[in-house]
Amino acid sequence: MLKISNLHVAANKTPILKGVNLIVHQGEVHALMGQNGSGKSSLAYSIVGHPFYKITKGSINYQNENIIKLAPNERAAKGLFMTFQNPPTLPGVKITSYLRTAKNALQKARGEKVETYSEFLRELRSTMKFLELPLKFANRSLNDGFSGGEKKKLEILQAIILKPKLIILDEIDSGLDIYAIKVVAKGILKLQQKGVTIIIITHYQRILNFISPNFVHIMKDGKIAVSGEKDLVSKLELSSFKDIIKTHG
Amino acid sequence: MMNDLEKRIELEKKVENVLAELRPALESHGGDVKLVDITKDNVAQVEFSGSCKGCPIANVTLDEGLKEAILMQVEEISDVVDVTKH
Repeated sequence: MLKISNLHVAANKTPILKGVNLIVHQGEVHALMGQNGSGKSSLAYSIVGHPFYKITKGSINYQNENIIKLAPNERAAKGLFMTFQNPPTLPGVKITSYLRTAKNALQKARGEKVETYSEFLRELRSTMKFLELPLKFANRSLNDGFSGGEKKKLEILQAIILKPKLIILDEIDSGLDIYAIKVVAKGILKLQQKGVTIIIITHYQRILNFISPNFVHIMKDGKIAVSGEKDLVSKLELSSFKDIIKTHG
Repeated sequence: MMNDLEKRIELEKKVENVLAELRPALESHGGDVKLVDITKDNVAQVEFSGSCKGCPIANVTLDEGLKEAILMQVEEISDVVDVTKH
């Protein structure tokens, strides 16, 4: 589904990614780990098309098409979605208006039937209940005055409503208490059940106790230094990134 | 336990409460709305009056005003439809 070959990316003319190779098949869950500044988020932003990140070499093939020249909205129409580590606040933009506008645009771009407002509200209502978000939040501005946990739940709400095919979760578990993690994990599992392919960027094993990855990759200096299966995560908790890379790399 | 009639009265009251919150906004434009009926499938039927009757953007008020407020606040309601003869 996703094949990244020898990807080099620069930001402000500084090389950040230095030859990333990654293959993700449909329905798989991949965990992307590594120290701060190793290039995890930059890789995520490059996949979804953030203009700050310039691809200097290599390709990103998604569903057998090199997407590096496509605009972020065109990539979203093809089913790519990313949740933000620090979701932005948009005062004055109501959650219902934001989600409805985004969903309508995606349905049009995907050549799907645009649902009625009632259909949209019924799905929003049931999904908000599933994620244990108070329904009255729907009337509030996006992330305005929301707690850390609520913002992350709202990211998952968007993911479920906007129906992506491949989702990149950038530190969805950072700053959450154990109860909020369980609710967020429940949302991710729902996406997985719907066949959504998942790349999860995390520093912690705890979220991976709920969502079991097929593969784990550890990034270092803008490259994937080590790839392995789930047991790599438990080894990581016992030793350091450096030792693992030395042993497996 | 509430019987069916009591449940229905309770449900109507909930919808009426939401309409009461919205009414000042409609009245400020010289319009009004009332709950006509709630069907067996829990569809709330509403009727516009005053300047809302025949208004070309009454459907916007219906969707983004009434539907949104009623569906998000009264979970039993499945839909809101406009039965006004515009």
